[in-house]
Amino acid sequence: MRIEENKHGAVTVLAPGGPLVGDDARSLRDRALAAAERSLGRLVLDASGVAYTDSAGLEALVDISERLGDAGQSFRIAAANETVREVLELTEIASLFEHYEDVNAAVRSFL
Amino acid sequence: MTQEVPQVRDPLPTPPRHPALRATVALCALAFATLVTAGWAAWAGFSTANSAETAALERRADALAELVATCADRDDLAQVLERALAGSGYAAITVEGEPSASAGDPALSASRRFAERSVQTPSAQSAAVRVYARDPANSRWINWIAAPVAAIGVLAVCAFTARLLVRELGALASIRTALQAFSAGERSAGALAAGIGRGGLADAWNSMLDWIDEARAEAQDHAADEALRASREGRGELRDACDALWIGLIVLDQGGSVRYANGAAAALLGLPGQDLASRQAADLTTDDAVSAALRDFARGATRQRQIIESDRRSIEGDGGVLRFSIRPSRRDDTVAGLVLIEDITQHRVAESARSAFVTQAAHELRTPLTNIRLYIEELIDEDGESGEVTEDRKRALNVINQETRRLERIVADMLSMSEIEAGQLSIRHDDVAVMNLLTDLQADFEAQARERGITLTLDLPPKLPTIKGDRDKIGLALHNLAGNALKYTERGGAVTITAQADAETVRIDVNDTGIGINADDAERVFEKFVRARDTRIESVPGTGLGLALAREVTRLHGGDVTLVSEVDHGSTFTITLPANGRAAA
Repeated sequence: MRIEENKHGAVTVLAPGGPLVGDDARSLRDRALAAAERSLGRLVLDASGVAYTDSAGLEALVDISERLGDAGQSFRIAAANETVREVLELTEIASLFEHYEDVNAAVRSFL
Repeated sequence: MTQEVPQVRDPLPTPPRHPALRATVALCALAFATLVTAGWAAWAGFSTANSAETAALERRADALAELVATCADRDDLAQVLERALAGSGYAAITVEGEPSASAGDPALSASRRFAERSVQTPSAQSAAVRVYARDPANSRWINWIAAPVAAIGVLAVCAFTARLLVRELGALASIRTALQAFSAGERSAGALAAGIGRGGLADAWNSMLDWIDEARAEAQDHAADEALRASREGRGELRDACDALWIGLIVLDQGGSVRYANGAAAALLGLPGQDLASRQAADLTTDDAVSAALRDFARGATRQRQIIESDRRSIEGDGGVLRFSIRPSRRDDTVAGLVLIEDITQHRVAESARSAFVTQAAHELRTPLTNIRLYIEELIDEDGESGEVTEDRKRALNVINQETRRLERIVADMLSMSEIEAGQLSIRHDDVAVMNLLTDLQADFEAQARERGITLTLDLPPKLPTIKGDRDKIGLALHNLAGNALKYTERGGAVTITAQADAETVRIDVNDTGIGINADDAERVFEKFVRARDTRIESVPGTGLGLALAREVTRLHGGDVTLVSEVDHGSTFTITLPANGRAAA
């Protein structure tokens, strides 16, 4: 899975281009944790390219959220589609994240 | 989570009887019982003896009556009586009637009990035989015992009763005094106690006071325990809240060692997941300025609040701009410290973007404005020469020209402010003739003042020095001050510009008789985009940049702008510039 990494000001935006499953999910987690450490927690996940996710994807998202939470930060997820949001809500982990309609809104939340 | 049920003291128990009271009651009961028993025994004994004696007397009287009836004559009767009396234990035996006879001491018969029988004497006369008891009826031994015992009993009961009454009444008086003291606000158990040795009531009262005292002490202990528990819980909650903060928080002890650091602090310092406790705070950062400040704090060299911004951004944009606030926290007599670490990277990026935008926009706006103004001026001049244009058109062109110049100054303000923020404002070191600067200023605003009915006065000494500085920037600052003075002065008012100089400084005062600025806003108006809070200026256009720019420009020249103002009486802005032109840049 291709993961784009962009800078919006001082905020790192990761945009995975495919479903969060299996090894791809673990790859995203490693990339996200490394980016969060480099940018002192200013991280946004652009989920517009994520069609769906499995348990490995959910586990990766929870890991990232917990690691950011240890530093007092929230994990911001932008532009998640209805399928992904529904899975997060059904598994009752949606409250672990901050949800934004688009990337710009998520980036503005750091101001 | 289980909720602890607060302990409640048992309700007030029945006060225990005091031993002395119980002994007194028991003694009284015993004495009463003894007296009753003794009296009953005496009465019973007396009654039994009396009955037996009476029966004996009756039997003897019967026997005598038979004997007397058989007597033949008086002598026989006398002998019978004597024999009957001898060894009988009776006091006397008499036969009343014809013939009378007796045996024993008849004198005693008056005080003795007797039994009487009617008989026929030998002389065939009716007579009464009486047998008198030996002891008098009221001199029985029982009387000698029972009377003193009864008297002693009565006296004892009276004495006990009197003693009890005195004690109980004394106790009641003490309790009454204590209740009056309680009503007056006294709460000490010692002060409210009834006197010791005043009987059962006083003891019960004192027991009640002791119970209340103990209950109060227990309640206080309970409240203290609750407060302690709440405090512990509060500290736990506070720590949880600090751990969830996105701002780094480090608590230092007096020696600069870390007592507590939250997760955000570790992450922002690039030490995620590490335990920072007990480490020297100065060793946690690679920024020299922050380390030096923390070492100074640890040595006690400084206890002032310090704010240091540390830009640790890499070329790739990683890292960030961190703002360290180091401040002392005093508790009792000890001074510890707090370090707050804020990630202001995104703010810096946004400010840079805004500043770049303003610069770009100002440049883009200034060029067409300048062109418009130049062409309008040319038109005005041509029209004036040919005389073909009407006065109305000329007036319209003048208004357009003035408004264009105003727009140009606003753009110049924005551009200068943007340059100052970016640290790119350059100050030229021209020779600036203050006299010319001020006369040009008057010329620029004369028409506007006349149009608004305001008296604009330039009050200058014969000679003013030439200083080193940026003519355009100083001119811009003066334009802003004079423009504000006219803007906020009503028709009929006055604006006066004065100047004076000595060897060190040049001072220019811009005084107006306008609406003035209240004391709370006097310093704020020099901040960017801030205008005084006065409803009268809401309709007056303004950017809030003019005074900020004037102060920045004069400070860059080594001078300053100050304000003295009174609401409804006007303001005086004073620009002070060094006469020798000590420009900062």
